[in-house]
Amino acid sequence: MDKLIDIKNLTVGYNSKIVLENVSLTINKNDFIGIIGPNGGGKTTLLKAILGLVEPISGELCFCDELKNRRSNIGYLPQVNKFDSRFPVSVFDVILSGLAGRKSWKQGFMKKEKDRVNEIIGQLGIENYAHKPIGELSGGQMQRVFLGRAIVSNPKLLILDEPDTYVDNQFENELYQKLKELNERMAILLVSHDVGTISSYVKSIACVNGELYYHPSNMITPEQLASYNCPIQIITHGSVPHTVLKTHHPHAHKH
Amino acid sequence: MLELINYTFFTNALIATLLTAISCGIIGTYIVSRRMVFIGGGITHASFGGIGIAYYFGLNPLFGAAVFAVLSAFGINYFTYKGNIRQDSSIAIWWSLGMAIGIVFITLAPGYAPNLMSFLFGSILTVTTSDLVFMGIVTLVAILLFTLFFKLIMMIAFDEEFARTRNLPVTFFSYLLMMLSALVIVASIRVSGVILVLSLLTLPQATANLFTKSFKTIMITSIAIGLLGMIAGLMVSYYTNLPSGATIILVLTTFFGLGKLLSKIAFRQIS
Repeated sequence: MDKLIDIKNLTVGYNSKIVLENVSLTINKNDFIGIIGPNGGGKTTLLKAILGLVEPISGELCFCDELKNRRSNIGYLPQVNKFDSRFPVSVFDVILSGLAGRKSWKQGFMKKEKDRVNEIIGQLGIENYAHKPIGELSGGQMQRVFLGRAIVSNPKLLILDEPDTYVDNQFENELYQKLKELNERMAILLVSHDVGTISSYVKSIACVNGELYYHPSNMITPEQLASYNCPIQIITHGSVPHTVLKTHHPHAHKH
Repeated sequence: MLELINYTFFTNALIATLLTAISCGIIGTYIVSRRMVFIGGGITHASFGGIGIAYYFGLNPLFGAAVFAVLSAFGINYFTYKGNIRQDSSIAIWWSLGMAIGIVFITLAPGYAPNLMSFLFGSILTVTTSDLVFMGIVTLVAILLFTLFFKLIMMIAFDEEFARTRNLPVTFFSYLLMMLSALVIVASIRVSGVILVLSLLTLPQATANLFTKSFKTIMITSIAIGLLGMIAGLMVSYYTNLPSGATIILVLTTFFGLGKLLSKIAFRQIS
């Protein structure tokens, strides 16, 4: 398997308060990893460490081959409630900003880049509001736009932080369908609290609660969650093809 | 009215109006969009400390104000990034500290302080040529920066964290724009004074924002609104003998009220 990122014994914290301790995780090329865990357990911090937004206290964060030029090859969809939705910016410009990088910020954007934005707008089916200010969008529309910004650069790794909050069921299904499609081209790291839904789409699960337990399958039982020190509730959804509650399961590895 | 043009003080005032409208239009849009208005207030009032110290030592008060404004801007930014003190508390500390230092030094200075009122409430008719040079440079820098790096500045203002993941020079530009904001505020103190300057950075923008949701259009429209409001305010103050700074603010507020009314009528017609 082609490795993209190799995290070894990583410890991260803010102002000497440790949030993640001794975490190890390998992200391979076609991975679709669901990250679950309680609030304050360090899910977002793990993403931020990978994105270079927080400096680790100790440990290794190794970017392999195709991610050498790391940040421009990672697409990022942050938690949506962090945005100022009244900021005067159009949907088109938000998606365009996903193409910004060290090289291009001086000269601005070329026609090629604008064409690429239009292509993404077409793919996501958001032509109707492509030139609206973001303040006029609904929660689901907003998420589509930020997904567009995250994937417009065609990254090797896509990182999503709770894309399923503030959206309706229809969008949620669409989103996961889209992610499945994208997963053929890029590795995906998805943070969610809806373990029930994500388990039918992700290929493996990482439980993060100060420490990280890697579970190399998408099916996980409440007992296993408990043994991973991951106190979260499993919500079962009747319509979802796989159910999370399987009685028997291969051994889970502690990474 | 035309005969006024023959007076140097009046032409100076008109040039000052133009420069202030442009610089405040640009920087104000940035400050309002980033919800940094309160930071602007902190910087403005902190700069009063510099005015007091400069006054005490017989230096140019605007120079003192500039030093204090930039220092407090960096101070607030530094505390925010380091996260040791909550931002609003940090702003309040700089805000009142600056005012306290200013008042103490002005009281200590020998003799009567005739300029005090002009710094608190503005006095556009006493703008000197060296003030204009300072305003001119600050305005030019603002125009250049926002023309050359418009997309980048907007990206950082909209989502700083995402800009960091794209490897953009976020910290550098944040500090640069903070410094420029501080200097624009100081340059505008002549026009509307420490206490009223905040409205030059917010009223035109709020009025423009009633009609457009585009960063660039807000910027350009608020320059026009600011210019119109300041000239009208200047005229009203000339004929009514009221203080210019306060009159300008009242005119700009009236514009906002009218704009609000107009936008309501316009939206009613659409729907």
